[in-house]
Formats: sequence, structure tokens, C-alpha cells
Amino acid sequence: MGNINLSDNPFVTNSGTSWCPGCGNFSILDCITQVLNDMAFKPQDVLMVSGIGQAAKLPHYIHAHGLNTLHGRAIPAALGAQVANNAIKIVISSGDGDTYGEGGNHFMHNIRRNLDVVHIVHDNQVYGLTKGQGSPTTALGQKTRLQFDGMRHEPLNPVALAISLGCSFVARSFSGDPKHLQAMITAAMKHKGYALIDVMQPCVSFNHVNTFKWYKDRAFYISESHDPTDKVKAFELAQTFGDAGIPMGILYLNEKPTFLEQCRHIDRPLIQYDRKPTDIDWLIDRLVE
Amino acid sequence: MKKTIVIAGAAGEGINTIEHFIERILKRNGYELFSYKNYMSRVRGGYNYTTIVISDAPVFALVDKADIFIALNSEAYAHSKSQMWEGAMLIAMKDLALDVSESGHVLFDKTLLANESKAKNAFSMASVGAILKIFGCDENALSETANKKWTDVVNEENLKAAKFGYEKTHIQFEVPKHSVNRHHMLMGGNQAVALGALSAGISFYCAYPMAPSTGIMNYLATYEKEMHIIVEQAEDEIAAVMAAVGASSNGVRAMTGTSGGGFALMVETLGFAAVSEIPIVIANVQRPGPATGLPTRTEQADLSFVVSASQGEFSRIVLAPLTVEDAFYVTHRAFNLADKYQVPVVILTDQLLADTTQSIPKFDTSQLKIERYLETKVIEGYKRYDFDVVSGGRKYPGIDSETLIMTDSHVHDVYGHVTEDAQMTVALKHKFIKRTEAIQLELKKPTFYGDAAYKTLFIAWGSTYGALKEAVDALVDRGEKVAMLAFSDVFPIHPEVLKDYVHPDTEIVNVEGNAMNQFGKLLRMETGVMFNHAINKYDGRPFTEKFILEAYEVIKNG
Repeated sequence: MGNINLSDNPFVTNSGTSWCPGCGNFSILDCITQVLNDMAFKPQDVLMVSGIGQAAKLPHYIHAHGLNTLHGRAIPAALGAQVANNAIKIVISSGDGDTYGEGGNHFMHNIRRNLDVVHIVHDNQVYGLTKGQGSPTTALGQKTRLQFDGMRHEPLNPVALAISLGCSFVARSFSGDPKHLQAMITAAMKHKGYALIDVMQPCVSFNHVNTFKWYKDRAFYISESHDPTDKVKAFELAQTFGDAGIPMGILYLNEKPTFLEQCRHIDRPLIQYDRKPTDIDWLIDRLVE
Repeated sequence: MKKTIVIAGAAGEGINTIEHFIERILKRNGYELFSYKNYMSRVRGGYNYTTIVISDAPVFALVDKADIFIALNSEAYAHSKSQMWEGAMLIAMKDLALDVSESGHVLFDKTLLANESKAKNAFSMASVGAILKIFGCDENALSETANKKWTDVVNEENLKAAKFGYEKTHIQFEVPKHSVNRHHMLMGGNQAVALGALSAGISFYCAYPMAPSTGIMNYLATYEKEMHIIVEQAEDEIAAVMAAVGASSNGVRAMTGTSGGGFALMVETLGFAAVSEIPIVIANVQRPGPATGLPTRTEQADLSFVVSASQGEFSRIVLAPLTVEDAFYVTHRAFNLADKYQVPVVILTDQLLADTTQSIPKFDTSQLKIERYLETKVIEGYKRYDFDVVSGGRKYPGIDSETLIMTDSHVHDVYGHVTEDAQMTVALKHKFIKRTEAIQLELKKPTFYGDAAYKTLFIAWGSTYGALKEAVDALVDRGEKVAMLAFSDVFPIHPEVLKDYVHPDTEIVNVEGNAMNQFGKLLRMETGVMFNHAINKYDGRPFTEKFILEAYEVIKNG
């Protein structure tokens, strides 16, 4: 994959994948493994969490801990996993249907919860695993294998939604620009809090509108003069999509305490607390009074 | 000897305050008690009442009618006659009950009480005073109505009202009591489940509020800091159970709790936990369904659903505590079983247990042990999902510095990676079959109680135990050849579980808090033994001894 060096990377596996040749997922996978290695993580330090979908197969193709859950449910699983042991870095990999459709409620509320996770959404604007139906991000009027006369819903704007909810880190990137994607993943990994990267990605089998070329022709880097801490400006920028161009980069940054930082009574990973039945004796004694 | 007090009024009128003081003070004075809240699904108003059964011996069930009826408003007074035994005592304001003669009742004069105390809930406190007098408590007991959370002025005025009630009451019951301070606790089912979870070393409880299960979350949240746990209110029940499973997958003990409607949303995750062999404990505090049902009432009608919920075939355990005390020990055991077999364990209680307060012996934590069944050694080529291992040997991410753990919701190979291989698919099925067989042997046998020379055998599960136990006591006292078999461990059922109890001439009476005999049918399916008769209650209200005795009479008289 272009400039990516995959040799001697402990995260790389030689297991085959079940993705279609030419799928944007390959580049996203390579970028993740590259960044993890560059940042000197060990496979034992990282837990890849996913739901169900083509993107959600990714944990099986990376040499790290993996938690491949149910459709839409990656984020709540990540919540539990992080609460149990925040010494393990969590990266969520899921698709647009998984994240914004089936898991939409979790997406909204975990932005509020502000877990300290990197969430990479493979957004190809179509359902891949179920073969070509419209997704929450498919454009109005776009024909699909199910919506023969075109989509009847307006698409969901994930980055604008995330910004409106005060998401701690919102970025957009493109699987066809691995250098940019790696920079975004690196920034997200360094960020403390819920870091969303909506990754535009062609689906070579089912989306013949939003192709590699379609994205390539429209994507532009966000100007350095953009202040990502300005919520209104960020929201404004997030409205730009499609033929008007697609801004790539960090749209919004909102530094705030993470969920575990709000749990002030916990000073180490929960897994490290030693517990025994007699811990409740004082409560029982109180009840006997 | 039992005496039953009913406190009736509208939500927010002080029922809970009266109940709280009566229970605490009478318990300290050596009485046993059992109380139950009968309330409507609303925050203010309505007609609610709490029943408190007081005795010198442990009480396990409600009594249908009151010996003492405390009416907080005119609607309560209107209900009083139908809820009191003939000749029972009324405690009320005089102007509510103008047609009642003073003899045998405690009626307070509004003006006199107002002159005595400026307390907002003067009547409530006066009735507490009356009860203490009736049950022979020393006048000093009145000072126990002080509450640290209230101001001194409030406490003083309350005490004056309680004293007024105490002095204006001239009736005393002859109820024997124990010597004071028997190291008993006052506890409800939700609290017992929460304490059981804490005794098992729970680290994370994640739930969505739903009556009647919310008390578990409330209790755990109260002691979150002292116990160093995290209690999180999720955005929905799916998130709640997924977060609990996620936490468990990373090594801590985690739990969720809900009622039937919330459990319905958790169903897919139940199968996920089972196939990915993540231990998880889920409390389903049953209320009548379907759908929204009766939010604050009781029923045992989720059993068939819970034992078969989620697509596909897998191993699971369902435990239904018999009593409040049992709920503690069952919950502790649920965590050990979940860890041992890496399965979902559902604790099936109900609104009756949840909203019961019972005086019970102090829990003995020295007998309890947290058993995790983990593999802590680094093992070359470790197989997290070895098809031949049905219990123990579990590793989770971070348990050692070497092992990588893959957890997956698909059919997977021994390392947790997706596979569509036919042989592995079969091997996984066989693992679940072997696991279920091992669990069947491990689970607790039913509790037998009654006349060993029984001709009639009552079969019950879960909270029905309480009322049935009292009914069996009454029948055995009259010389009837009856006994009961009560199941706390309701799934999976061992095919021979009834072998030692059912003889050719045994008449089986199935007693369940539902209309369709769900457990009776489950027993028939697993053991081939069919009940001869059934006693069912499905009006949203709990069983009582009287209800069972009357139904038994009907059966007996054919």
C-alpha cells in the first residue's frame, strides 16, 4: 500500500480477509497497523472493538486483542471494556450502517459519555455485507440495489451530528489518502476522549456513485486557518459535502474530561481492585443496627 | 402469632414514612416482620397501601386482611372495611371516620393533635406512636423516630405527635417477641441482589431504569464510592447489557438488571455472551406483561421467555431466589457459576421480592468465596475456545503480558476467529451440550419441605415459596399429608430431578404466579412428569396462604 511499510510490524497478520479486491478497507487496516506500530504500541496494549459489517471484520485481521460484537453494539461493548481496564487502548472499527443506523443511539450517547477511544467509521455510504442497500449516509435520490427509484431519506451528516453534540474530536479522512488517514489516526490516538474519524471509503461492489474518483475529485484539506475549537465554524464546515467539496482533516476539537475522569472515586483500572466477600460486612453491620 | 398492619393512602402521603419507622422500631424490639408495597404506577396520588405482617416467628408471606388499618385519607377509609378482618382496629383521624365508634379503634381528634404538634405529617407520626403502644414498646422507643436528615425542629414536632399517638392509645396486643437485638436485618429483594453482587466482587453495574428492578441500581449507586465500583445508567437496555458484557470480557465481574421489557431488548446479547463465552449476570425482576403490562405489580410469567430467549442453541443458567435471604446467596452463586461455565446467568426475581421488606438473619460472608476459574499462566498456543473445555481455563485481555484474546459473536475456531467450517460448527454445538449437562449436575436440588409421608406434593419456584411454605405449615398442622418442592435453580433442569420425590400415587399440585403453568410445563418437558392440578395467581397481586388453602380445598373436593 503505497508508502506504508508493513514489514516487522507485529500488528500485521498473514490471515486472508473476506473483503472484495480493491475495497477501501484494506487501506484503513494498513493505516491502523502502521500507526499502532509507529506509536510503539504492542499488540497486547490494544483492543480492537467492532460490531457487524464488512468494517467490523477488521479485528480478525489485526494481531491485537479483538472484540467482534453484535451489529450496532461496538460502542457500548467498548464502554464496558474501557471501564474494566483502561490500561488497554481501544480502537473501534465499524461501518456507516453499524454506527449511524443500528447503533445510532449508542453513537449519540457515547459522544456525551466521552469514552477515551478512537472510533474509525468506514463510511462507504452503502451496506456492503447485506449487498447494496442504502445506508444512513447514502445521498437522497441515489439508486441502490433495494431503493430502485432512489433513496427517499435525506442522508445523515455524521460529522455535523457529532459536532452538534459537542464530540471531543471530529475528523474526516479518505481511505484513498493513506498519508492523511494515518495523520488523523495518530492525532485521534493522542487525543484524550471520544475521537471520531469518518473515513470516506469506496465500495467497489455496491456503490458505483461514490467511487474512489468521486471522493478524490471532491476531497480537500481543511485550511490551516480553521480553528477546530470554534464549534459554530466547525459545524458550518461540516455542512460542506458532495459537489461542493469534502473537507478532510480535524473539523472539531473539544477538550473535556473523559468518562473515567468523571468517575473520580476510581483511581486505577477496575480490574486492579482486589475484592472479597467480607468487603460488605460494614454494610451488613449497618443493617443490623 | 401474626398481626397484620395495613397503611393506606395516596402516593406521597406518608405511607413509606410510617412503614419505615414501624419496621425499624418493631424489629429492634424483637419482632419478625414481612411487608409488601402495593402501589400504582404513579408518583403522586392514587390508592396505595403497604401491608406489614408482624410476628414472633419468621414471616414469609402476606396476609390478606388487616388486624390494624391505618387510613391516611378518605379513600383509604372507604377501602378499609374490605381490607380488615371482622373486629379489626382502625387508626384514623376522627373526622374521616365519623360513623366509627371509638371503642376498639384509635381515632385522633384533629384539633387536639394540631395543638400538640405542628408536624406536617402529624397524623403519620401519631399512628407510629399508636403502633408502638399496641405492640408493647417502651415509651423510649418513640425517640427512635428522630431522623438525622431532618431538622431538629421537624424531629421535635414529630416526636410530639408520636407521643400524642402513644398516649391516646389504650389497646395492647399480646404478641410474644424475641429478646431485643437478634442481629437481624431489614431487607428487600433488590437490596439482597445488590449485596449479593457486591459480595461476589462486582466492579461494574450498567442498567436502564425500569420498575421494579431499579432498586438494585439505586442501592449499588449509593455505595459506589465506598465499594470502588462504577454504576452507569445506560442509554437503553441493549447498551446496558452490552457494556456489562464488554466489562466482563475484559476481566471484571459485571451485571445488569431490568424487568421483562428491558430483558426483551437484551436478548440478542444473551446469545452473544453465550457464544463468545463471556460470563454475565442479568437480573430480571419480573412484572406482569406483555409489553408495558402492570409496571408495579407482580407475576412469574417471564420464565418460558427467559429459558429460551435469543436465537440458536446455547447454555445458560436461570436462578429464581425463593426468598429475600435466598436472593443474596443466589446472586453470589450466580457470579461463580457464570465464571465457571462462561455463560449468561439470569436471576429471575419479581416485584413481590423486590418490594418486600423482611427481617432476616445477618448474612454470613465468611462462608462465601469468589471463584473465578481463570487461567493465569502463560500457555504457548493457548486456545481460548477449546471445544473440549466446558468450564474454567479462561483468559481475558491483559491477564498476562503475552496472550492475545479474540472474542467473537460468530461461530469461531478455538482461537476465537470467524469460521464457517462444518466440523467446528458441530464441535461448538457439542460443547454447549456437554456444558449444559455439566450445569444440570451442578445446580442445586429443589428444597423439600413438609410431611415426609406426603400424598400431595406442591411444586413451586421462586418467590411462590413463601406463601406456599405458610400454606404447607397450615395443612401439616391440620394433619394433611402434604409437602412442597421449591426450585430456585430452574434451568437447566436435570431429567431425573423429580425421581426421588414423585411416587406412583403422588398427586402433584403445580403452584405458580402465572396463568399458563410455565414451570410445570418445563418440568414435564424435561422430566416427563406432569402435574395433576394447578394453583395459579395472575391478577398482578402476590400469593397468600389463604389463597392457596382455598384453592387446595377446591382441588381436594374435586
